[in-house]
Amino acid sequence: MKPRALTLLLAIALFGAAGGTLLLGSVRMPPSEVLMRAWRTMTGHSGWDARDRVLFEIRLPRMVAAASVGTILALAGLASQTLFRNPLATPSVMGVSNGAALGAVATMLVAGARGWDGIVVPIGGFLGGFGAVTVVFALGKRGAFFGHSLLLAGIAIAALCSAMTTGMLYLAGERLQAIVFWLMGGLWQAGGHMALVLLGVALGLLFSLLALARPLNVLLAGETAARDLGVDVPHLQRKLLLLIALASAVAVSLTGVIGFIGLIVPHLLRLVIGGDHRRLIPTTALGGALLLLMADTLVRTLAAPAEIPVGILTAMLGAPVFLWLLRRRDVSGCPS
Amino acid sequence: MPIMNLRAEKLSFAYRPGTLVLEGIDAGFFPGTVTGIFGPNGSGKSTLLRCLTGALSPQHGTVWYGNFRVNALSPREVARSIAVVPQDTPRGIALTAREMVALGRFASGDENPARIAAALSRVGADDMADRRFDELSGGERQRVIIARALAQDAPVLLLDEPATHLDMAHQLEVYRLTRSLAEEGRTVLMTCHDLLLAPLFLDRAILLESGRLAADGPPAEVLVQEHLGRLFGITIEASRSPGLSLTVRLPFQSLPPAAT
Repeated sequence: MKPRALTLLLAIALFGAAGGTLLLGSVRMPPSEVLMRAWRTMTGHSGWDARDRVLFEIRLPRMVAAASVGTILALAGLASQTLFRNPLATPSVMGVSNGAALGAVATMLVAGARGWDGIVVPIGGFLGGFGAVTVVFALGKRGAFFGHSLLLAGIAIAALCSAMTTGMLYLAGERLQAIVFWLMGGLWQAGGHMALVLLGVALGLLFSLLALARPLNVLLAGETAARDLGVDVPHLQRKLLLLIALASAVAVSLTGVIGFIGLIVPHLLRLVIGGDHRRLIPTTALGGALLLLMADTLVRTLAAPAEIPVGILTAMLGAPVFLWLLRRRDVSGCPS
Repeated sequence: MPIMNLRAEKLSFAYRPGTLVLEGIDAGFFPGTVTGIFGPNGSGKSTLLRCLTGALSPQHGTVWYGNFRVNALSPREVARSIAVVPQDTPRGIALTAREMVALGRFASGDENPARIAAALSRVGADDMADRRFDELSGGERQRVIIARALAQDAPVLLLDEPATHLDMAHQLEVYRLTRSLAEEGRTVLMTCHDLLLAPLFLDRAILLESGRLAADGPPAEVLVQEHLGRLFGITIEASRSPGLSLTVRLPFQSLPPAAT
């Protein structure tokens, strides 16, 4: 399939899925009603009722948040795979998400309830995520770990962060249930402000990576070859580490650990359109948005009015794909 | 005498303190010439190439590109001046051959399709342009990597054992290519083990022995029993082919007897 056709197809599917998210839920709304309420709101009609609140204060922010987080996770996965030159490297596999979760939980315990919707938790998440990605990257650079070993090092970091997070839960007291539910990953607390923050981060990440698309392509040839071809490799690696840590921290701090989006989306798209980042970055952004939007709509409606954390569904989808990749690929090489 | 555009001055390099891989290398390289760097495994051939590109920083000595220290240039400036064909071709890259060659245009900032096509054509790889790099054979990948270096349009070309994965016809093609690139005014250096075909295309041969310059001069004077026998630890005899300018260097005494 040609890249342009795929991009168009993904954009149309995303538009459809976004529309579906607004229609579906415990309160059903036909398309005509959604359009009518949207028109009334845009033209400034008064008479804001409960169904308007469901549409504009719950479903719309949640739709934007889901699409944005999907974009962030998929792009962070793509950036990790190119940085580590390993198709299995994603923030969740490499322990970055767990590091961010550890930082965020530690901050929640220290900052208390105010930390939930403030800037403090994302900063804690960023520090945790940056710490984890730096440790894994440093292990890879020293040559002690690469290929499978690097993944195992990431898994060890993830296990360590996870154990420390669990240890902290002993201190959580009455906040325990909320934190555990948050850790499972979900978009249930998405509000207007949170959706805007996530949209801003998703667009920032998208344009930052698009600006780096050509050097990212060159990095596929290996660090030494990239240097010979004119890339300032350490500078590029530092930028990628920062972007991955920042994106993972924001996503994890606001929505918990949602795994495997960053693994599935770039890999499947790479199989279809190849590895050129100038094409892969936009399609990965669209694919990530589409996949999480569909998954979130599913977990919202499957057991409505109850809700399954979306992290459970993405893990159930992602784990078999991960095993398939592990079996199929020589993971000592670069992304393929 | 032409002006040297690449020069190593008293170059010494060690990966670990106390274990010198290169020691006091002094050599200048001229535009319009092809230089072959010979030596046993581990003699420092590839390390010398890495030092010449600035990828490795020598503990002592300097590499000059014109009037500039190579280590003081940015990677982009180096890539515009020196193109490298590495010894190992990478695997598992989800790019087509054409996209792989296009990486060679990164430093120049323009991805001129005509230049990319010309580079592919020069190594006889036009027909593989749209195939995935992953799916090419070792020799085909090597030709694409050479095309990538040509796409850089750099005045200096360093090739690290460029003929390793190639069959004899393509080895000849690569050697002819290095010759024609030199005739266009480029400085060409290549490390090699091939004592049969490669010397025919060289203007100069350098022998490395445990990181030191053991001999430097025309191939007919350098690639002789005196040096080769000492370096490789076997008796290599040179036999001139009647009617041809070909000198065959083989360890005749170590070869099995001909089957009857």
